[in-house]
Amino acid sequence: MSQVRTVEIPIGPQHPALHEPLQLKLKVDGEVVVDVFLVPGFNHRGVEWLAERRSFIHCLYMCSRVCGICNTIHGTTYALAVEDLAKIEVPPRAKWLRVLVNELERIHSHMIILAIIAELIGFDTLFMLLMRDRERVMYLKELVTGNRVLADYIAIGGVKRDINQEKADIIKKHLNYIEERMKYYKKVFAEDPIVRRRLVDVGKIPYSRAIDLCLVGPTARGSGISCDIRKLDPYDAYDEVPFNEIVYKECDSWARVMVRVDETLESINMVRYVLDHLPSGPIGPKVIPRRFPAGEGIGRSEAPRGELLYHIIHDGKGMNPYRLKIRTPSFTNIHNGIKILVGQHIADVPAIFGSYDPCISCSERVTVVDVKTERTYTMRLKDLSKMKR
Amino acid sequence: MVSVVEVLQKFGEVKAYPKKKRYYVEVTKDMLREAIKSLIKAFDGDVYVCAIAAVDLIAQGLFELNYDIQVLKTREYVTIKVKIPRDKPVIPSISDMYEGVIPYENEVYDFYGIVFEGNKSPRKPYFLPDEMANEFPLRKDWKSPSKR
Repeated sequence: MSQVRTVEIPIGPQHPALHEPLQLKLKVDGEVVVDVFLVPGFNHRGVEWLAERRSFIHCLYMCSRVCGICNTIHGTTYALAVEDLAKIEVPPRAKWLRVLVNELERIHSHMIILAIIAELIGFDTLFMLLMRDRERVMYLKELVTGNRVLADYIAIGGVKRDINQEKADIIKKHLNYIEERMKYYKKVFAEDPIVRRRLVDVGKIPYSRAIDLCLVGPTARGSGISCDIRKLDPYDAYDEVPFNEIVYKECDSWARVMVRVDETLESINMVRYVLDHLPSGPIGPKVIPRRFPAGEGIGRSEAPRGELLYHIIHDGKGMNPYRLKIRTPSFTNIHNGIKILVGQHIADVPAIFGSYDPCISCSERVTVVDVKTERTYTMRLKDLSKMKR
Repeated sequence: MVSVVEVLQKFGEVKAYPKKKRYYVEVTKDMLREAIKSLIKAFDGDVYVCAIAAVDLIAQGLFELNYDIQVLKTREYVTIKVKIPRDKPVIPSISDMYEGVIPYENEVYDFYGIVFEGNKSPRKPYFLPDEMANEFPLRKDWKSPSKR
């Protein structure tokens, strides 16, 4: 009887920054992954359970903390759902300011994952350059919202702070620099032979497979699916701000990276447009209600990682939502995206996994179990990524 | 091109949410799979499931499942609502149509104990820790250990 020569490689298990920390157990035959088993829930915080026991106003601050990197879009989407439930009209200036901050967030979120992908494929210099330039975007976010990371900028029915011409000029000045740098990085990602060899034709997800797996965001747009919620179901001022939806049809890891590079450039133009056409007027309602009517509210938005959905159901009793459903883009992209790893080389796993834009540091440590010798040893995912195909 | 309203009206009354191009329809448990199949057929498969949201309607003795679906071609969004009895929480799985809904179904199974018949890889606990393998914390009658 022939002996089954598979090795189990657990990757993970957790990183507290990710909404869905996870452990990946890869079964490999030689260098090829033959099976993937996902173990999620190491740091499940029960946000939906907590939301049923908090007031609508408390929930706004709690939802902003679901994700650290894209906290503003979580606040925005929760506010959209509550505004949908209570039929609250948001003033035009507040809608445009939400676009401004969410696009700044998209720029820095895409820059951080591009930097992480650069590091994962062994291009540490590019990682450092991207992180250096990203710091300017963080400064701009602080300039507008008052906070560098957790902005807490969104209010139900509007935003909390206004900007003036002086701040607008500072943002434009820095955007010129960031745009110039991003054009250079685009050239690097598009043309550098080492980057291309690590990403092109790696982790292909055909169009129909991406639909079957319900993938969203840049991960799906890299497979040719036009699924940008800013176009599909416009919210805030996205129906007034012109922009192009970025779609690549190559279906590989490189396409998913290039979607993010191009979206960053597109977002820079959007921020400029917002600053030039910002309408005047109030930035929020004078009174925010404490009690809300019975009914349903749906908030949908395009977070940096894809479609974010908040579904509120309220029975009209009490000050808490009866039910708050949150579906983050990483939930579907990670839980379903890993199925693509079957048939791929171990050395490509970091590049493919990185191209989904998860919090990659959750996978920093890897334990390798050799079933033949029963020897267990630990290596870093970074070292794994440097293995040759 | 047909719209979601035309495709789904034979399964129940399609109502519109206040926002443009958003609809919801309530169907019976037996018609759920047929309704989703009709959407896939009518729009050549350019349809994906955004989420499955369960709600515990304890006062009525029901669970409500909301299948949030996006149609890419017509840019329409529809929520298919299904109500099932709380004492017999079983519903047919749609994981044979969409492999991507397996984690959605496992999440609902984990927190509400709703069984999806036909799900090829049901797992419990999925998100919950091992010691909560027989508990359903998002049910309204669940009490945290400190309050028992």
